[in-house]
Amino acid sequence: MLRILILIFSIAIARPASLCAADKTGAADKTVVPRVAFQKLSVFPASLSLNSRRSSVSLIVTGHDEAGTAIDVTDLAILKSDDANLVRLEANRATPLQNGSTKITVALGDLTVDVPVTIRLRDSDAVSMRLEVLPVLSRQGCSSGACHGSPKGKGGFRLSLRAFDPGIDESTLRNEFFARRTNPLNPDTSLLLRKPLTEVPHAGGRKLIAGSIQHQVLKNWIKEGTRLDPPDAIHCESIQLFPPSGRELTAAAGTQRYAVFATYSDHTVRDVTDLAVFTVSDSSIATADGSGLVTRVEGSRGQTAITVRYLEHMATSFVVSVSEVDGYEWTKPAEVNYVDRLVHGRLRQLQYLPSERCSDSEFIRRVSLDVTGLLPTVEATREFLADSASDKRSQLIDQLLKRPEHAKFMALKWGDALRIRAANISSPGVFKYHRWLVRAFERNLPYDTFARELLTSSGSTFESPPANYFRTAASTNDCTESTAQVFLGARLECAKCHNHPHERWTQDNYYGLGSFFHRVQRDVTDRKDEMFVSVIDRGEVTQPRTGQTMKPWLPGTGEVDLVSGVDRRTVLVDWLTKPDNPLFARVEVNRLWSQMMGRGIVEPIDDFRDSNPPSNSELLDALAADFVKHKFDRRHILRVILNSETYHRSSESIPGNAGDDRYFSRYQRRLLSAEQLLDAICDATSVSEQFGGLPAGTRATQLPSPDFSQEFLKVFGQPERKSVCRCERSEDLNLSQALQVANGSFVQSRLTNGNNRIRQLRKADKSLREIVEECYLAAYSRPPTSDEVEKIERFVEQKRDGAAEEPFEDVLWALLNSNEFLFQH
Amino acid sequence: MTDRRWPVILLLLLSIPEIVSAELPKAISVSPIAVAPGQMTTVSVNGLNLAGATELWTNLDAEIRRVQAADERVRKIVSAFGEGKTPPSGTVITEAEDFARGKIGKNGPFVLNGNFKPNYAEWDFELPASGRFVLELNFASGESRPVKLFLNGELLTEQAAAGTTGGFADSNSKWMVECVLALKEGVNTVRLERPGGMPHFDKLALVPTELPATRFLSVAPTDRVAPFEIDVPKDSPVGIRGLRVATREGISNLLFFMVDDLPTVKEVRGRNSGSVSQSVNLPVAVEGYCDVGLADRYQFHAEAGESVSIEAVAARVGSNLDPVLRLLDSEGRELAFADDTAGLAGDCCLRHRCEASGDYVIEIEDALMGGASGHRYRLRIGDFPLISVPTPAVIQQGVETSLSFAGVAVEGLPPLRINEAVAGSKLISAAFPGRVGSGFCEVQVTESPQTVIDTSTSIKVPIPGGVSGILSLQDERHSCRVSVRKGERIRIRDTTRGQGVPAVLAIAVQDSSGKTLAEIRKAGNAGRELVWSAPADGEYEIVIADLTGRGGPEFGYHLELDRVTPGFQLTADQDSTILPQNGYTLLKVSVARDGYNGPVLLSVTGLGGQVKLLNETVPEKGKDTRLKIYLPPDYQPGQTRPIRVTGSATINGQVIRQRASTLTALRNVYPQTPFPPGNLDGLIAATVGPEIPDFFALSLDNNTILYPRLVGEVYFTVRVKDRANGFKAPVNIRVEGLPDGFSASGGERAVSRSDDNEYRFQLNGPKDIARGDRPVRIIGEASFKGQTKEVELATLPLRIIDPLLVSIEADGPLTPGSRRQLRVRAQRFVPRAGGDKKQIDVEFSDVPPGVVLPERIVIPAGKSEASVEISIGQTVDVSTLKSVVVTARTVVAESDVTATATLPTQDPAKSGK
Repeated sequence: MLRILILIFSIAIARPASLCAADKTGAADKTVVPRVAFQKLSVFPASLSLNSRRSSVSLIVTGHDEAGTAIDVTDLAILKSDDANLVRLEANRATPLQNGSTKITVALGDLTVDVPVTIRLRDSDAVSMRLEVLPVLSRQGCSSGACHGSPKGKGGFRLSLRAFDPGIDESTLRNEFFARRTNPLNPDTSLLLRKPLTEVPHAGGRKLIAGSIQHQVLKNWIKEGTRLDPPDAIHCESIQLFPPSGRELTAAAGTQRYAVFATYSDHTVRDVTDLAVFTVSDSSIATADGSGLVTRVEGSRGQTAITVRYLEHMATSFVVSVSEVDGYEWTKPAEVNYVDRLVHGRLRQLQYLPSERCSDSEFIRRVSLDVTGLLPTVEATREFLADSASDKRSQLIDQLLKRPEHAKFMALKWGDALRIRAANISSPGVFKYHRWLVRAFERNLPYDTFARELLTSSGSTFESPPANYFRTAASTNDCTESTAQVFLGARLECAKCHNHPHERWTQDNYYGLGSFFHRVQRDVTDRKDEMFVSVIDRGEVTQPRTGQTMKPWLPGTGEVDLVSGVDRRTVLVDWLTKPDNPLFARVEVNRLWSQMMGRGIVEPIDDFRDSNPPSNSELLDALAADFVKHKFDRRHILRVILNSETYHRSSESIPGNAGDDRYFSRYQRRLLSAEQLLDAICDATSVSEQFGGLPAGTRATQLPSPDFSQEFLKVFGQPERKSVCRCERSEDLNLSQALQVANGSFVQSRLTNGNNRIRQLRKADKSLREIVEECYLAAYSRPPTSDEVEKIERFVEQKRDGAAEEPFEDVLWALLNSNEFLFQH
Repeated sequence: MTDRRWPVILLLLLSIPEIVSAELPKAISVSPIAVAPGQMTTVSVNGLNLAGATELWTNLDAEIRRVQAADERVRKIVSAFGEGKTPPSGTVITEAEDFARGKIGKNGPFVLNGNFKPNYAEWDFELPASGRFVLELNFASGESRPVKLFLNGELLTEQAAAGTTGGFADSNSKWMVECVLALKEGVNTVRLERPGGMPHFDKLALVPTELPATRFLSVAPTDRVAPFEIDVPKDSPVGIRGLRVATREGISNLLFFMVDDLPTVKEVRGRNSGSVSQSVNLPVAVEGYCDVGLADRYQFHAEAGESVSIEAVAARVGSNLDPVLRLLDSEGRELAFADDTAGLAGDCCLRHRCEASGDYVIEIEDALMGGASGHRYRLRIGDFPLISVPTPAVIQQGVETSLSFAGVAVEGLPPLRINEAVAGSKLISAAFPGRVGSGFCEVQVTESPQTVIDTSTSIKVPIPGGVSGILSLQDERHSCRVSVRKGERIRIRDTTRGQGVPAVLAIAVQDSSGKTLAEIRKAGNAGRELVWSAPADGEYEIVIADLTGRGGPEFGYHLELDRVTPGFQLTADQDSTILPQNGYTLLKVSVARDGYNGPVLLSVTGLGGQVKLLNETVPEKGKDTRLKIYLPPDYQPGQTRPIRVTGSATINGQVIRQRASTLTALRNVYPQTPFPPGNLDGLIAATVGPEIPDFFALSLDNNTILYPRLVGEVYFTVRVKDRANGFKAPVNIRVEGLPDGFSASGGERAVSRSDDNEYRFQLNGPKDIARGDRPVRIIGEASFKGQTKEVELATLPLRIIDPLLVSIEADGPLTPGSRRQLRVRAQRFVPRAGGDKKQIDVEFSDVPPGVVLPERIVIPAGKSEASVEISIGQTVDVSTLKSVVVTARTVVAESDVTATATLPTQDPAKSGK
């Protein structure tokens, strides 16, 4: 690695400042001799087939060193056209001039690559409104939601949001406003040009540069008479972003050029880099300009997604920014399994160091809370700490995963996603659905079976509890959105009304997916609160904008032809649970990872999209592959995660990882969830809570629904389960929470309870030291230090003149109000 | 408050009717839940206001006797150990301390308190032959220390040895007759048990007797417990029935109970939850209730290869428990789980084949995490069939039919031959040969022929007729053919849903090409009936499947096919009623018409031929009637009768009879039991109750309803008054006898929640009707203490007037020489919605000489009165003032309307002159 860095650094030094585009274009006498000995030079595209004078192509030149590292040398390479009458070169762009064949020679030092060029210009080459004009308006931001793409438009000018409805745009551009927006007789007077050029006042400011490609597209379209595309015009089928994921930006090589190629329905390919929109998911890592040049942010470390959008198509490429850290040296920490290997790989790449291993006390507290939602008992903690077995952590993990509390805690989390609440499914429905969930986790129901039972369930919501899925998702659209978010990690709400602005999902996709659920029928029965779910063999979804009847559609598969009589849901689930489904397994392992590690590899966990890349895609892929290999065994994945050294890391940062909050160099410290905290306070004080009519001893982490909630849980963010979104569970810190813990009646009633832990111990004539130790074990899962004991002894002694229990209550209060108690660490 | 007001208040108080009737009986639970066929079983109904229980009403054909607090017969039995007496031959005497088993203290000759909880001792008596014996106990007790007395495990009483003997010393010992026991051949075990201090028992004796066995109760009759003996015929089928307790005040709500041939044991509370299981021997039915958050556990032994049926009966007997079953092996591993078995309305069952010999544990708990004494269950465990429905599910009346069964465990059940003469719902049960314990279901009896079909046949079936079958496999489809003429409307009804059948049917009608012409694919009530018209003469296929493609041995079904002909259905709004002495009861009987609009004549069966009815005809096009049933003579208070209401009508020359259903009323009581036992439908439990006086009265402002012609609508208010103490329910008020074209609405509820007594009606009618008076009736109906009464205002006039009224009032006596203000008031009726505002012209004519009065004045638009000065000369004879005519004119609904009045005249004698 170090060697590569030196090479790259050499390139940077070798790059003369005068190596501008003008120098390179056809300048045969200009040669760059980098000090890096590249082994290979590659150019993308490898050949050019050009059919329009406007279809110039950006050539991306990559140098490969002997280690195989790819470095963008586009701006360093010398490009030369064999026949300047056929192809004109400007910087790295090749523009056809007339028909013929030639080649472009790309040279870097001694390395050269020939790019064959074939030019067959079309006879008719009018500007396409749909393929060029609308993308330009989208690229320039005109049709964004904040501007003319808002539902009511801006300044009396309305465009469809990001050109998703060309019909609207055709009308508004050509006919509205007395046709003043476009003037074919004198294009330069068109408001469509003058406004963004700010030749007349434009509230949105300058959006167009005179003479730019985008300006020319608009002007030529107007000049040609604002022609509409014929009904049989070609359309874009896909786009490709080059280079793909894997490029690294360093201090030495801090830029990367990208190019976008569209493939049309006539199989032609065109460089649409100038018509596409570039965005970067994390601008603290890198930035992108409109030409496709991505530049690393100085000193940044991490991965970001470069996302490009052309029409309704999106493509993404991940790039990693690496910064040298002074004195960084990999410590070769132990690796238990592939989780550690892959986490360490990313940490090494980004030059982070993992934290130390956590203590046994931290571990038992942490793993108990993560797996069961509950603090370990004092007895269990003592036993664990006294155990000298080398595999005691692993044994504890196995024990906890088999505990009924684990199943109930998992049911709590899934209860949020499935929106289990009485208002949705009636009070009996809550208990039956919840019991089904708990049993699913008790039996470790394979995740694919779990999904199948939910998504294809039929019958009485009492007799077949997973049928409640279709009671909470009470409409086709709700089914579509819920299923996408829960099982595909895709938030589809936007696509209900228009193509998703930040994702691949189109409005057609939305309704195509919905057609799998459209035939679900929900009947009220004679039995109180019961609903009967069944599937009928008729009914189709109509796309509300186009009026088109939608065929069932699957991501990556397209439209699906189904025979009559088939429950379409089974086809969807067959696709969903296929081992090669790109999302199904990833979404779930990410969910499990997030539950254990406090943060998803993709975060938020239910927002998988190109523009929200995983922090460690190799890790996510490996977990997903392992999950599939083990037949979607969730307990197996949990075991893998929990046994990894990564999970055993301390939550304390070290100098080598203080800045890392997403690459898992340490355990993610976080406030206990509402239910965890309530139970923890009950356990630490040994005073249980009663929830409504539920049995005594029911834990908050085992509640079937928020219908049995109380104020404390609400303050700490317990969701009402109105949405499937994980975001409904608030993780924000607020003053009310502090007041609840410091002065709230819930905590106070436990501190003063006549049979709380303190009083029980005092009744048992335990010494102050014994009382303090038990309280520490109960709250922190560790014994107190001698210093802590001494301080408490002094404190209690000073307060002797008050009520006998008061100093002890104060001690317990202090424990409950400490970060060590309130946080998962 | 002055003293003078007291008499008025007293009078008012006295005028409020005092209802002296006691509270109605309320039944809460019955224990045990089940009675055994061929046995006399004592059941205790627990509830409120049961002290005066007179009868136990059930739909079970059994002898029922109310058990008194003490069995009088016992008191008459003389001890065999009196002074100078010798016990008869065959008397068995045992020393108390020679008990076979027990935890009890011993002191001298006595067994007594050993501080065990409880103290108990068991004595085994081995008899060569069965017989009856007087049980006598010899003990000393200085205070009443009642003990529990068990015979062969059955609790006979909690009040045994309750008497005192004057002290606890040896010298205080006495022989006391306890009861007459019917003992079996072999070993009989007598057990005495008490949690605390016991009487000091010295001896027990069994004295042979010819007296009949006496019965005791575990709980003595009180206001909260009504014990009855039920002698169930041996051939009574297992199944669920209903019962109610009658008192002289009325009849209780409905409770469900069972006839069950499995032996019953009670849960031992505190010893069947947590990590402890109560041991039971199969077959058995355990009765108990679940506590909050705790599963009750029962352990039983089974041999390898043995199959066990386990069935929780809870929701079906009205329990609050929503049972969940878990079968565990001896290691605590779950072997089977059941919750909400399809078709059992919330109850559940399972069948498990035990792979290994050993102990198994069955857990039962509430699915909703609840629990209390209302969460009762009867947990049936044994090798019995789990039947969902017979096949055919419906049999033809008077035709011997061989029934097989659909169900989870029915293999090996022999067919049951049955021939029923009476239409209706019949319980049937069946057991595996040589096994104790039956499965149960219902069979319907109709007049139409029945056919059984399966996948291999598509036979032609008649209409009317029924088809039955079992959808044994997933996605299985059955079909049958019917021959239909063009235009004929065929009704296909799924009738089995309420019989414990898990199948929810999808039904389709197809033509010969397989094209679906009509189908129904819905659950719930909406999916129960398909009506279809044939497009042409021909044969059509009826295709039957489960709506969600389920199938299995329990997925039996039945369809009833008939031609849609004009007819009607009846519904009674109550499933029980009180017939007051010297009075009547009211039943609202509603008619759902289907192509028939003629009258329906109602009759009542079950009260003898002398029953008198009123409002027994639902008039042509009428929707309902309030049937008044008068108490026939010779009925005693507290006496109960099952009655049914039947309606008949002649339709197309044929007399059609329909029985009124009470299903809606039953469902109102048990919303979680949508399908109560079929033979309860239509059965109305009537009991003779006390006569209670009217508990409210009605009044109408001005005793007249003014109806303004031309306007076509008006509001009027009826008030409820003189409510009896404790009567707070709303009164349903209706107006009857309105002329054609009139309708009154709004009397179903009071105007505001804060005032239950004001009911405002909107009267609508024709605008072009002639003025005049028509008689109408205003009737209030309400229920109090279980009785419904009607109170009618005296026949009132509906006065049809022009929409203008005028009146005059002077501010003082109109005397000679006086000058007064006349206030002219006019009431101009206008439509409530968008009523226009017009002025009212008022003319004064025929004014006598000497009186000064303007000729006309105007009441401005939007106003209803105006004042005018009148000056009367000194010489004017005031009696002539009545000749003054006041004429008001205005325009309403674009028509001129006029109203007149005369000046108020003053009697000179009263004027002071």
